[in-house]
Amino acid sequence: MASEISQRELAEIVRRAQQGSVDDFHKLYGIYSKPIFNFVRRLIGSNEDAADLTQDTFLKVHSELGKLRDAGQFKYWLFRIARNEFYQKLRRSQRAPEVSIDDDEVSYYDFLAEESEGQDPEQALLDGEMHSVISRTLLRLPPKYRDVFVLAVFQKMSYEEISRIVGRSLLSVKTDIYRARLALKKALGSYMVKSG
Amino acid sequence: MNCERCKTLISAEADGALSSQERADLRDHLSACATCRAFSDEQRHLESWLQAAAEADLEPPDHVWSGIEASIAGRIPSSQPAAAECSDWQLALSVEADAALSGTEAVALQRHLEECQPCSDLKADLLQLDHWLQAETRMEQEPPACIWRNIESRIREKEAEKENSWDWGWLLELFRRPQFGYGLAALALILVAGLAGLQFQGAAERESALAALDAHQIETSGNPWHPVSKGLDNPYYSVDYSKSRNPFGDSR
Repeated sequence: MASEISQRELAEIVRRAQQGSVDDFHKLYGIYSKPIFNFVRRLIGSNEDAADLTQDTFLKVHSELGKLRDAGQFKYWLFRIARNEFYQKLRRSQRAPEVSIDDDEVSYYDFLAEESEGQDPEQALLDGEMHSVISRTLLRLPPKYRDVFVLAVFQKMSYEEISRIVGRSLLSVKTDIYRARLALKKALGSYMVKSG
Repeated sequence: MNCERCKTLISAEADGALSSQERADLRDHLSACATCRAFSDEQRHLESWLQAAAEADLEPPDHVWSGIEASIAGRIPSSQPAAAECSDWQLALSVEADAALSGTEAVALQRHLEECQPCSDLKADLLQLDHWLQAETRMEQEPPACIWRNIESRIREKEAEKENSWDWGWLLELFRRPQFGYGLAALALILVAGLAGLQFQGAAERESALAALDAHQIETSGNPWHPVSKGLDNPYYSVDYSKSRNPFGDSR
């Protein structure tokens, strides 16, 4: 992972990759391919699509790497490209679930309410069903809540880092993560009552 | 008196607005008309019922005013916080779950949670949710190995394409470099200096030619205003008017 090497070393690798070193680009891939793959997997909900998105992201990074001025910003730039690739795929496939990207929050979690109906929560927990419930619930969130939530909760990024990646204000990031949490809480409400 | 007029007087009597003459007329008509008598009885019942209802009006409970007073003073009882007041605290609960709350904020939040049951319940739910999400975080997957193979082959293909085709990239790269800008500026300076030099040289040559001409004229005639035509290259100075076919030449 990126934390295992210093920022200076990372910047050096990026610079050498900018000069055309495929070996160094492979190093960058080795560092970031797993976080990027899991980031887009949680956004799109399919391993196959996530693999395509990861590949497209790194190919884009390779062709645009020369334009990156500050090598220290590589991580944020990479995640931003991955996020853009996800949105592009979403638009292309017209597969935005129920709501458009810019949709407001009028009914953003009303449609989540019945997610866990008809299931036995204890059995679901035992079976690891919770994993698929969370994944499905995440996919039903509007994309603008989903991306910031995944970055905060699964990628463990700070609000400042997320704000830099998604290009929105800190307050907007904070609020969208909160709304995503509320949506998940509502969707998993029946599990909480019975198991809690 | 007809029945219509009688009904009007019955209503006016209830309001105590009849003259003594009208009251006497009304009494005469009621004693003769059973329909109007029945209407008058009905009106009297209605009046007495309304009177009783008016006397039975209740006082509003004391807490109505205390609620109004509290709202005016901006004081909300701590046992039932307003939803709008708690929304900030609920947002803070989410921020706390992401470990992004400052020490001061955390203390303030804790103080609020001690007073507010709905927010405490929300915190318990968010903790439960966080527990599940932590488990989900551990379920990271490795990307398929074929991804890098595909990427690498595409990079190699691109490089091969670049080698086989004329690449204008170096030129663009050259334009982007700051040294290119400095070089361009230096070249422009040299060009301007060269042009200025040429101008100067031309002016100097013209000056020396004129000086030579002046010297020659003075040398040949002594008077620059009447130059003798001989010895000059200028054809206008060498015209011999006496031999000219110019008709004006003969008249001179």
